[in-house]
Amino acid sequence: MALMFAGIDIGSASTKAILMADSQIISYHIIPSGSDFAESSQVALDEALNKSNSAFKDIAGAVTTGYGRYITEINAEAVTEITCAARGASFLCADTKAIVDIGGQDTKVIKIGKGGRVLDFVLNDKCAAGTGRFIERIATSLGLGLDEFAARSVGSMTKLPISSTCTVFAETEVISRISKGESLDGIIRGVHSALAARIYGLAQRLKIQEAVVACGGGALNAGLMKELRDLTGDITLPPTGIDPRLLPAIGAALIATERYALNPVKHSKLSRPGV
Amino acid sequence: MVEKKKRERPAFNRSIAAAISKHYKDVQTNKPMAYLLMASNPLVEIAYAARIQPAFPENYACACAAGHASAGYCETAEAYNYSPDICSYCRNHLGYIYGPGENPPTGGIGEPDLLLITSSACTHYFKWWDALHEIYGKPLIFINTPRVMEPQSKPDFYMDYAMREIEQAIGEIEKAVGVKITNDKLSEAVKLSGEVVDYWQKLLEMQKAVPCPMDYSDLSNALFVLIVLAGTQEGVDLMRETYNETKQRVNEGKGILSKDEERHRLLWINIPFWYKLGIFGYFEDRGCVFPLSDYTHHIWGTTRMDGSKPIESLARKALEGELNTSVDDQIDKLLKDAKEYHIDGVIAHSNRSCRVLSVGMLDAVDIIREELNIPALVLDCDHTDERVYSDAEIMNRIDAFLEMLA
Repeated sequence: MALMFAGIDIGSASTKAILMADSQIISYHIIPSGSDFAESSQVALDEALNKSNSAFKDIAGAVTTGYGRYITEINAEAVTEITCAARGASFLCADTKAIVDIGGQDTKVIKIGKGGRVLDFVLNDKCAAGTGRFIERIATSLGLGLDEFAARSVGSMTKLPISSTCTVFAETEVISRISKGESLDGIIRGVHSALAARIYGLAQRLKIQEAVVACGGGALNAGLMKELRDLTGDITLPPTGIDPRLLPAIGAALIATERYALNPVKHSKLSRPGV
Repeated sequence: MVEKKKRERPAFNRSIAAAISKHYKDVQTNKPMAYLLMASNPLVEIAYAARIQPAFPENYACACAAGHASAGYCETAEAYNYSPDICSYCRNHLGYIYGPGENPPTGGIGEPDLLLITSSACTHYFKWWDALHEIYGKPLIFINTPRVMEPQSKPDFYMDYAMREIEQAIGEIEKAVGVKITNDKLSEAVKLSGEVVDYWQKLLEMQKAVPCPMDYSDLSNALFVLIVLAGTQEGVDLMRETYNETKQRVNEGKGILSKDEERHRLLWINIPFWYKLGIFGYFEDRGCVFPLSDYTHHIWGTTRMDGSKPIESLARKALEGELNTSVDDQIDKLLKDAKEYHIDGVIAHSNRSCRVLSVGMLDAVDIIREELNIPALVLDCDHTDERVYSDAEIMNRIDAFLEMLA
């Protein structure tokens, strides 16, 4: 039986645990990260183990990633989500030249070389307006779920400009436009368009023009993807059936596999409290 | 997790620390005292020739940042209507003046008797010195210099103009403090300044050695000698000591890291985060050194000073400083040096406070990245205002950059 490896991505919005063996996904689980990253990483991993009818001791090696990568009680090696996302994207789409990772905490554009090696990357500057939070926050303030928020953007024929300088100021602008009786759908599309423009600006800094894969929670938003495609012309999602939020976790599991192959002794002493 | 190592620092750091400590006692007690800015400033040598104690509010901001007092001072300045968009060196100083607190870092910087300023650095500073003039009501003496786009081909009338400005400033300083600045005194200060610069240039050249003999913090310490003590025998002695020890380290093959440990030689663009100098140790623990930075190599200490031609030397110092030249010139120097220092990665600080160093920086990064085919990381932050720094964000980017280098 092939050895099993775990990739655990503890992001600001959600924690993703995946189990892989022989480069195949066995199971995965995604939960909100909440405020206790150690607990969310344990719960996500336990759920993934339950789904595959396996136990912690069956894991030959693991890598943690994401902002909470050091805040886990599993003594796995930590690798940044930038390196892991590149590895995961390259595994799923061999021709990928770049990733746009739209997360809750930041947006990354990563240029990828052979074998999923990171050639260069840029992240949004210090502002929530460049991240998935921008959309999440405005949708929440309007009392709309993210799915409806995205659908209304896709369906809108108009696009009203919204400033993307600051999330809080953008919220104020949205409220001001609503109070003037302007089209809500047009405003919502403007919100998606503002974030897409910022992401496109980042991608331009790396002069990326082709074979771009979108991942992260933002890639689940059809409204944002439509606006991004309008700007870039060529941006795809991971293959059908793969949740775009899973790319860093997949990359983490693959890196765990590679490191185990190089040094099985060092990378097989996985433990966590009580196990 | 990578182990954090305790490394033996070169001994000259202790001598420089003692000089810094003495300087901050001197600025409290010596009179007359003048506020000066640091970059390419010909007024430092003139101050020493006139027996005026110079004090440097920018350097004080660095000390406050290192002591984690800057954020509070910046907040105080903002409460006095100084916008957060103003340079944090300036806000730190004005905040200190308005509310120094019970235990200001280094004991404080003292009140000036004179305010000396030149246009050869940051244009922002005129208004800072204007504010100081308003607060203290002391004489404000200003040297204006033309902007030099191509340092190698500056027109003669630029030199004539800068020399006249310097001569005029000398007259005003003499009048303000009632001391005659003789040619002998000025020549001596310029000669001593020249000796400091000569040692500094040789010190920088030695950073090309593998392994790199000094780290960024060591070089930043030595900058204090280059700038604050330019024109003094104390400065010459300290810079000679720094040079001699570094030369010995190079001869013995001694580096901050051993030859085997030194895996990457990085270029740091812009001013460091003064409240987080430990970041360089983080890089060292991961096999990276910083033999080159525009901040240490290009902004100051680039003009050869000739004691027999004091006014001409001071004029050239004012005109040739990097902050007084074009972005193209800055990029050319960085590219040339990146090759000579065997740089294989770039960390660029997009410094919210220092626009004069940040404009053109992304172009410089792109050009170096493309011409040398090396990776680069841009960090958005601030040199003094610690509130802008986000540890999780910055360290995550640095970790990813290090993984990319590996």
